[in-house]
Amino acid sequence: MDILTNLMNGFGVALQPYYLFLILVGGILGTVIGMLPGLGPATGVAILLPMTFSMGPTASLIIMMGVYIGAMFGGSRSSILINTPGDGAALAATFDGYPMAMKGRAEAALAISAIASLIGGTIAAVLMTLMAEPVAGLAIKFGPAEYFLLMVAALSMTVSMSKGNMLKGFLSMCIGLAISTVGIDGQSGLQRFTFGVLELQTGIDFLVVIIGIYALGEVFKSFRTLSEGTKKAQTKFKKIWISKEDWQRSKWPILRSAPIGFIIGALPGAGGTMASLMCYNNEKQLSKNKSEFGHGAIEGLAAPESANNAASIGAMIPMLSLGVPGSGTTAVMMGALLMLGIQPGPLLFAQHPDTAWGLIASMFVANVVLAIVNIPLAGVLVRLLAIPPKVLYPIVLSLAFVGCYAISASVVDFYILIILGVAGVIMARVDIPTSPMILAAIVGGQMEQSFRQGYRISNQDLSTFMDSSIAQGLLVVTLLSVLLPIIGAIRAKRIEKKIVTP
Amino acid sequence: MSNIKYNWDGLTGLFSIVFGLAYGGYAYSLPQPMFGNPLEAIFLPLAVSAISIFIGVLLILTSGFTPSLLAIKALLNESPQRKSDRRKIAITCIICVLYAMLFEHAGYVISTFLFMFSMLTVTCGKTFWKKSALISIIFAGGIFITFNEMLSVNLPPFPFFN
Amino acid sequence: MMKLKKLFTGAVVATAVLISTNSAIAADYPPHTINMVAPSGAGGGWDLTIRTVAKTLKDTGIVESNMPVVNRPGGGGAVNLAYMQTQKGKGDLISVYSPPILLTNLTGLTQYSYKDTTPIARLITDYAAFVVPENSKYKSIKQIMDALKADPKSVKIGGASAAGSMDHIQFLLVAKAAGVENLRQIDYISFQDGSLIAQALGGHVDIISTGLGDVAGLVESGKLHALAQTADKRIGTGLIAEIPTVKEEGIDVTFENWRGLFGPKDMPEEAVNYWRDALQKMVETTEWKAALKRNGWDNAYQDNQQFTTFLADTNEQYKTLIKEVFGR
Repeated sequence: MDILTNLMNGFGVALQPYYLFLILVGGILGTVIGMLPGLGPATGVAILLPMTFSMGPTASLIIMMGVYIGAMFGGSRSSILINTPGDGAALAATFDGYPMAMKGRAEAALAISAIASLIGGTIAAVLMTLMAEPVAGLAIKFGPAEYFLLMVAALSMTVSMSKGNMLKGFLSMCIGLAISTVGIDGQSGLQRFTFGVLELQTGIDFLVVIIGIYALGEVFKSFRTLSEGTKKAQTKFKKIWISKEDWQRSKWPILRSAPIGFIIGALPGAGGTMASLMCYNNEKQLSKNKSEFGHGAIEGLAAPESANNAASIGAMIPMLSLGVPGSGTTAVMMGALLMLGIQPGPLLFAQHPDTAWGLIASMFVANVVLAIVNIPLAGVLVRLLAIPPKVLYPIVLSLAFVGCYAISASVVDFYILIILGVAGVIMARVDIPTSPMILAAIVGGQMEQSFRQGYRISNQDLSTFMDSSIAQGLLVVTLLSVLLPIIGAIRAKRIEKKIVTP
Repeated sequence: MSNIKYNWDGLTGLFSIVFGLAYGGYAYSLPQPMFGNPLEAIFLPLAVSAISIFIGVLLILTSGFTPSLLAIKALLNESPQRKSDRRKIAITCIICVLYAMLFEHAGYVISTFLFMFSMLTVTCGKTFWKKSALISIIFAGGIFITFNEMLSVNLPPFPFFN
Repeated sequence: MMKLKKLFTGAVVATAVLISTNSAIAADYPPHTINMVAPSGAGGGWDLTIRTVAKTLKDTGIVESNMPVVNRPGGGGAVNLAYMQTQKGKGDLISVYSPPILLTNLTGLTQYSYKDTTPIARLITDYAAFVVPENSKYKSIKQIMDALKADPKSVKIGGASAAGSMDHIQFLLVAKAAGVENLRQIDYISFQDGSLIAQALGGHVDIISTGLGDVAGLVESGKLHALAQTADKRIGTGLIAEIPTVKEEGIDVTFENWRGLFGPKDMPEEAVNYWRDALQKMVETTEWKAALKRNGWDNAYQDNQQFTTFLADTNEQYKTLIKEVFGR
């Protein structure tokens, strides 16, 4: 009951008009920042930092929370409308969100994304209130071996689920892994594949890969639809809401994805991108209408949206209960707390109960406020589709470049972006799936580093990767994710054979 | 299902082998790191290279080159409209490269205006040049102000007036 | 093109100086936005330093420009050093660095040295700390060293920087002073994704080599136990003051993790002068002194000229040490 009283006190703080106002302002700012490609929650919070110095710890944390959650809501807007994810966590929203918009269901897509975000965020906030301590304990049990297996599990899911030829899926993955090895290697300090280009020492940011393949690739592909004149601007808009059937299809995916997203988010370094991709694949595997995934299945949008908001709240756990930042955004938040003279960590709840519980309550409030703000906002944003494609595509191209520059402040990435855009078109043409490549580029770096960390710690003993129960669990998941689709395919072939040759 | 006469598998396999050889070869020729087991740093690249070569061999064995040759023929005989689409993609790429070259020297607003204007000319044609110019200038200026003033993300400013 | 630009700015400055002697430079510098760069991910020592500098300068009104903090991580700082080479002659970028700017160059990780920057000021110094989980079997730094003497593979050392950079080197310096041989065989594991402290909390590495300021909070809360620090005296208060120095443990060595500010090479003179004055003012403010106390930092201010001399001396010192340890 202690928790309840404390939480009520927290609401007493978060619901004061001044703080509500801060959540609203932060939330709108966050939504806008989240929508712009390349700018994510970490940038949003960092931009806010200088302004918050004069505000006091509670107020600054609450407005940061608004920006943070706002950015998570906003990231998927551009995924759905122009196939360009606002940040990594919104990547999975392009898979089915954009096809939905193309089919004239942008309104439902925008609505379900806000609803799923609200529910996912709220479930995560409840879990956080009740289970922050045990989840933090679980998070630090993840050593290099467990991280390695987690990355392998994520990668194997996408490769085995990729449409078409599995061989080509692996080829795509190899290219992605090759991209992830560019840059200075942490374990040896060696420069790999930098070809003497200074900017490549930082490596290739996975967001550049995503923007290149999706935004540029989409524009290049669009020349075909433009010349055929098949794609017209949408002129009539419906209300931003979903049908009963949509809700029936998405409610379980939303509820299932929230806890998974929450736990993956709580692992330092894993984050929303991983969480949303894993939940997407998870739903695809569970779904009865697998073939609809990638062509505008509403549950394929609801699940990752729920997961990524849950993950963003999970990421607060290592910071609040351990004093260890779990993601880029919480690292910036933690820096802000330190500067305000507050030490996050095990003592936070004892020393600054108002701030700590106010923050937790503001997670609940921010989710609700943003869902309310986002529905009418979506009504305005959806008008973007009224812009004729021939004008919209140059704008998308420009936004891709400016987002790319915001990530790395380097023009070298422009060339990489162009190369990847062309590669995206060619890969589509010759039927190589692009998603394994993107996922490999995202997890490849950490997968390799974790492997070598674990290998070195265990004195070159590979059994370290099977020792803990978490590791064994992850191994089972990986094996299942590879084997199940294969078994399914074999079965389908048998049935097909039976039908063909009765 | 069986009416697909051509596919790109053979050429993809060839690419896969070339990619694997080039990538693995480069990894192998990297200098020795100062710390740790020298093999550790190139283990993943070598593995990736081996897998790529293996996939390439499998792809070529399963499909051979004939379907790919058919595919190239089909590509060459495509309708003029497709060819013009491809030319547009090539032009877009050239414009993008020019944009990248100009970006830091001419500053964001000027380079983006030129970029947008040429892109709009490609997609909408020359007749709407007034509208195109207007859209370009509003977009370039708007983004510049938003990023530099409101979001404190520094885009390259105007040359000489810094 | 460059020449023309220089000539042009030169002409503008000259005219402005003629018109009004004093406000000319102020009108030209500082620009609207000055990027404050931490060459690491958010949350580490460099990050905290540059953020504290930016906040103090802003709070006290010494600098009125926008000072967004930019994180440009990777390669133990080498990545940002490389980036700074593309910004030669610009005045709107201030970066924080510490011994790695010397070490990465000396160990051959990057071709660039501190000579490819403009040193602006040394500000503070922190010390290395060697930290174990609270239930570790190691109770003193001596025990660690004895274990390493028996078997260099028996203790796994974690650090946040890349292999061959500061967290690695500072441990090896202490190990060498303690008489451990086969220094190259000691396993060092780099955690550059910000998970180092979580790895220590979870007991996945035996000991982490890091900055005292980075773990002060967790040491005070008792979740982590610091075996030793590398100052020549006890510092701080409370549990921090109870951490013995390595000297007290019979290992005759100290390691200072100084932090200073650097601009790109060939930074305009007006910018260098502006920052010298601003920082001179800043280190005298009560806000700055309070920040030093809060973070457990020692004041180590030097202006740009003293700092450049200091860097030249230290560089020589490290050069000899690294040659001894790694034969480079």
